[in-house]
Amino acid sequence: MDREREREIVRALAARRRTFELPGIHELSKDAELAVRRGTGAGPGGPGNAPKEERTLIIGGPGTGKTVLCLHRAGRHRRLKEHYRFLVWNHLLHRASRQLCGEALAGETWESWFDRVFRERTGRALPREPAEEDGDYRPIDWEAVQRCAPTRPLVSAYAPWLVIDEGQDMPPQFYRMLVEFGFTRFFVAADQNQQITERHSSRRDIETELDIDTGDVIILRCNYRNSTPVAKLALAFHTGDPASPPPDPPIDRPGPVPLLLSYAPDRFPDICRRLVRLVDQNPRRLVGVIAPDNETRERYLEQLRGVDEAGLDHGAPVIETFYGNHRPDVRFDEGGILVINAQACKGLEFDVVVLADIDRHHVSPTDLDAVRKRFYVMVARARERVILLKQRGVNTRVDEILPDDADVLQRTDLE
Amino acid sequence: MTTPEQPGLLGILSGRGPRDGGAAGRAVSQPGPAEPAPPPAAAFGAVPERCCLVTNHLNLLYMLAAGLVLPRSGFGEKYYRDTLESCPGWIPLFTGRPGRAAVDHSIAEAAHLKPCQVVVSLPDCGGPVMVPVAGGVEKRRWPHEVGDAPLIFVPAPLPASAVEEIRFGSLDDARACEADALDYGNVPLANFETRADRKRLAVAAGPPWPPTHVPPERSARLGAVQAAGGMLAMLRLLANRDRGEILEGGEPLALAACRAAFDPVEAVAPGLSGTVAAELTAWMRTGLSPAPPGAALPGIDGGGARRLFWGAVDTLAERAGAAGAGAAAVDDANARLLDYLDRESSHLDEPLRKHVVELREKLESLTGLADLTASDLFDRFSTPFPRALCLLFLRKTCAELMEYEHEALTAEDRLAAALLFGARAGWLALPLSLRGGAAASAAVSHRMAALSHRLADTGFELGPVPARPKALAELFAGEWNARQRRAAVALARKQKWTDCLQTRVRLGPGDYVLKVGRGGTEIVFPGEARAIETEVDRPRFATLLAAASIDSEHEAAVIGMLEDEAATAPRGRRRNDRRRGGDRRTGNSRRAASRVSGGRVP
Repeated sequence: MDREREREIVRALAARRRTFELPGIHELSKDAELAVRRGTGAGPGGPGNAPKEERTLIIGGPGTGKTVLCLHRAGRHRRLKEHYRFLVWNHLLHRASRQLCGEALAGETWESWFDRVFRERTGRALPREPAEEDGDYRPIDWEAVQRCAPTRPLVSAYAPWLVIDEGQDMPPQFYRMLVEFGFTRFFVAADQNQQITERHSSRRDIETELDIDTGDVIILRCNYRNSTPVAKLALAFHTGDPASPPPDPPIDRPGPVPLLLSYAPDRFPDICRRLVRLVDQNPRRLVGVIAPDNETRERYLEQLRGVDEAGLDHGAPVIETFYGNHRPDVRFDEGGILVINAQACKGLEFDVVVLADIDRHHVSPTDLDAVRKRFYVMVARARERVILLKQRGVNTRVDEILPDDADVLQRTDLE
Repeated sequence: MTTPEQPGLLGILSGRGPRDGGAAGRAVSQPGPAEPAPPPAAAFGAVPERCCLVTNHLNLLYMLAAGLVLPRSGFGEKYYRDTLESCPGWIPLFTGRPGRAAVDHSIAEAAHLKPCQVVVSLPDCGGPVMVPVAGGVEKRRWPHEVGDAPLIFVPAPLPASAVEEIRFGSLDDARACEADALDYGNVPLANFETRADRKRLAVAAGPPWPPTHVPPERSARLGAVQAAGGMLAMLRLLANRDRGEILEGGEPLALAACRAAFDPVEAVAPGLSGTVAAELTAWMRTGLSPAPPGAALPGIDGGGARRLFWGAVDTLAERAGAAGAGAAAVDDANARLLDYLDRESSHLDEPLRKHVVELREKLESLTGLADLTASDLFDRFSTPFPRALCLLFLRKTCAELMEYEHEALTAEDRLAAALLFGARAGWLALPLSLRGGAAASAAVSHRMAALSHRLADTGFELGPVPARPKALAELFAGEWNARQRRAAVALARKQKWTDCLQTRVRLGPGDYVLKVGRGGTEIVFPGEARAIETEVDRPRFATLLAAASIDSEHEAAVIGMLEDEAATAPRGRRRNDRRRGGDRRTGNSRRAASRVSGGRVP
């Protein structure tokens, strides 16, 4: 391969490259600034801090920048040469944060980290429940875990900082055991309105287990991620838990109003071609197509991968999927299209979120709030814009939760 | 309104003001004739050499990022109470040691704030300031009429390049500030001297705070100032890549624009006439497009599209550098541009109106699920203004624009886009990697502050304007001398442009053995080589330079190799160098120099 060709390839790859870049000082709110510094070596107190200074709970709705703050905090610990672990909910998030921040990020999924710590501290394997019916995953048996006293508790001076993102999804017993094992330094970011697990922790649970005064909790109120229209749509799905208030929508950040696009089945290829072109316009753009079920996810994946690359400026974009145990090397540091199920979108961030075939979401006859929460989480993944897709003429109970206001959700048909 | 003292638009377009006044900006900011005659300087005692602003370390970092010592309004919502709060629009400077009350006030808002002094040196500045006197404040002229006043109020902003030193009360505070600066991508703390000096931070018996009397509030148009900074930075980056300058055969449009923007002397700079950037010098002097929205631009051919372009710059400049998240600020700016096109289209004649309406539709469709590629857009729109707007909607950051390549784009398209991107981001939003080294930042910072004083007509002079940072393309122009050759080799190595390098080994007469092995080839001969020279293929080098993004640190180091060190150092630092006779560069600058040269340059 000659040099010029090689250089062209490097340039094409660079055009897709996305990295986590340090924010500008004007981009971090005062609350966030306080949170990043609290208890760290160069922050108030520094070494020899009061224990309270070393336990920080951040509460904020989507778009308040919790994940960015956690990454930022982890980066600060690294720069200050302070021992830390960055714990995230699942492999996808772990991969995303690792790719965006580089291999130097000391991060892993909370469960695999806890598995190892449990062995180290108790000398026993982590007790697990039998595998669930539809898979081989075995949940942690927390009752059994709590019966195991640590034989080798940590010396608190050597305890690492634990930076925990999406802290509401870990159960209260997790925090209880950490304290029992001798961990003392916590930085937890959580949002009670984004729980997706059955064994989640409420804000009160985390405060109680980590002995954090309610008055010391830092609440991020400002939405820094979304434009006003996206934030308004997310707010339309908010279920109103006062323990975790939604962020104030940004007052003056106009952007495209989220779009509900109905399409006839024969226009499906057209929809997918436009999605591919969305990435071609800016190859650094990451589009998340969030499907209600596996069948829809596969249908979109197949069609998107079949789009003819002729006429594209940058060639075919990367189109990848992630489900269950299928964990390919999804690149979050490159633009492209990621087709995933709703359950996997937690904590991720996309430039554009496309909610595929919303009419296929399962709605419990007695619990509309559950689907509202799901939509709240999905919509809030978007940085730039949200597009909802549904098949023309199909009406389901999902329609009941969609806002009628055209300023919040603009409806159109793909002619 | 144009008066002999305020050249205004007419004076600017005729090129009268700056030529008459020497350096850009001086003639415009001369105080008017109503200014009272100053009392004899001898009546006021000694001139203070240095003054200091009392603040906290997070406001300090914000100011360094903005490139300006800001008034309270410059911080937006990201402001921690400090001494600026008491005198909106002014910078309160202590001429001696400040009182404890001012220091305490500056850190009262949050426990994590560290007190600090921003020491500024204003020996070359001059103009009206306010000084507290019994029963009020009084206008005096800096420096000779200030005398022993413990506090002066200088009209904001001041350039960050005037900051000579930053003082903390302890080494721990200084270190905390350094650690905090690393949390951000746009805080150039490493360009400044920091010092821990508990004794000088404050005295218990200093002046009380807040002062009883302060000057009346004044406003500053900082959006336009930030936009100007962003545009200057983008033009410098674009000029770095001006291949035509190196090869002496092309059209150095970007370089012409860079020269015109940094030193806006001519009404229409040579090389820019007839281009979208023809009004660049006028904008850089006034912070406004030459014609108001809706008005025709007399005497300029094809003025419709150009007026629209500069109106778009004005629209972006309104909120450039405002506090807030980057991506959201981009969406906001783009939405305002769509509104702007909407408003303007009603004032246009039919062919242009139709074109603008179509452009607006296409731009808006890019915010949805448009069935368009960039090539489709460039096929449809063939002139710089619409193409630059399309790029503005397709890319978010200045770095992305600099990396973007498309064969349809002309030099003028790129220039127009660079101006719009710079105006949208403002200097504040630029990461350090796009700002150039300390010297380039100082040159921009001074011009931003000078523009602000011109806009507000404060009459406050900032002293000699730092030289325009020379572009790499300019520094590599002409017949290369040994220094240029060395710098080109160093840059090519750093950028891994091995295909533009070749090595020449000169050997004396004799028999040589050529050994070819797996690891390469060896030539074995008795004695020593006469010379080993690494050479650069100049056309190839120019092509690569035109297409590459070069990190600020590497660029500064290469420029350091090409220019006298003294010429590249910021003003305050050069003064220190002369005074102290030592290398006062920050650790970062020294490291950058050694990294690029790497000890390998012959």
